[in-house]
Amino acid sequence: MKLAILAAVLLALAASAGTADLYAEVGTGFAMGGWGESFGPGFNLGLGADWRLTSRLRTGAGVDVSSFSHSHNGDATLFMLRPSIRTAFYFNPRSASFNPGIAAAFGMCRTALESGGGGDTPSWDPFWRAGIRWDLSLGSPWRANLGLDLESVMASEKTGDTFRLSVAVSREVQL
Amino acid sequence: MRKLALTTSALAVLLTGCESNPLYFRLSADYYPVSITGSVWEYSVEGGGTRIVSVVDQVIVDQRPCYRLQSGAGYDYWINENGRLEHYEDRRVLFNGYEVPVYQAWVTYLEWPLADGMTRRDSASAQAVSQGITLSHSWTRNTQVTGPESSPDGTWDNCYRVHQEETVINWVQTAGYEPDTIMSTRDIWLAPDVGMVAKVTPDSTLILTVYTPGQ
Repeated sequence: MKLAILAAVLLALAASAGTADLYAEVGTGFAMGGWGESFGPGFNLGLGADWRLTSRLRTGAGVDVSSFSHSHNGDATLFMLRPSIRTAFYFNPRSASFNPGIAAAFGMCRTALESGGGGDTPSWDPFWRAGIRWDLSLGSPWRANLGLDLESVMASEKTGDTFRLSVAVSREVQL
Repeated sequence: MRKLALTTSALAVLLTGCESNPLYFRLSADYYPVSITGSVWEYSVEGGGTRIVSVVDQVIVDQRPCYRLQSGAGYDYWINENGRLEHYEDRRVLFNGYEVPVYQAWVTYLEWPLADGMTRRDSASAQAVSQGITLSHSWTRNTQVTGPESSPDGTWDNCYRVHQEETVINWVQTAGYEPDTIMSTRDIWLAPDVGMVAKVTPDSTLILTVYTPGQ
């Protein structure tokens, strides 16, 4: 698993020529399943870069953090840190306002729980994310990207699933 | 080339020590499943004997719906909702052969989710007058959670160990009586979706032998 991630990142680096988009994104996540019954919506923040392999296909790497607070126990918070690689395919890249796409990401998720002044040992687990995108221009070289994702942390014995909404702003750069 | 070396180094640091543990499983689990009528826990008592605890029914105590647990001839009342486990504390002071109620209230016993190192402190003071004499009662309970770990008999994994130290001071405020201080400690192991699987006090040990969830 770790070798696969390493290989994928190196491949992405090998493709580092041409045009790239540096992005920052914010979003909110909604925990699904038993683990999230007591947690309210989470807050996401991410940074990364996507390389334009073709006009339709982009691949890149990024890191994002999330925080979920307990609905009733204000002392309890779940933190996630996710380095990942991702790929997106856009169907209408020449359009300035309507460029729908699909995206997928894979990486490792570090989950840490803090509650009542204590904290469990963080867990590192693989995770995947898949969703749809709506890409649009904000005037060159800026672009915006709206996303709707399903995400699953493949932890042992039970997965941690999340539904998330995100808004990203990116800047095109020439490499 | 330099970029590759830097990236490889960063990844190596990142992936070193990446340990997985079933955190989401623990978050999903109910560590005190007292909200199912008919559930029965059967414990073996060190030195011989058994102790059976069962969820008898749902009743209303102090204007709050709760679950009544029976153990022998005694009853306990619990509420497990809104991220906390609450216990109905019914404190009494023995005076002239009578048990005089001095403190009755719902008190938070634990807050969810449990985590290694979490602590809480609960305390209360109360007074009552009986036969013209003032009876005072105060108690303090310190709770510390550690884990996850296996139960003492190794049967259950992902348990949290709840260590409690409780101090009770009862004082009959009349001539000839001194404050009576009682200190007690207990260690309780809670297993996911099972509840208490072991309880150790200085003079007793309970180990869960059979758990039958209610319907």
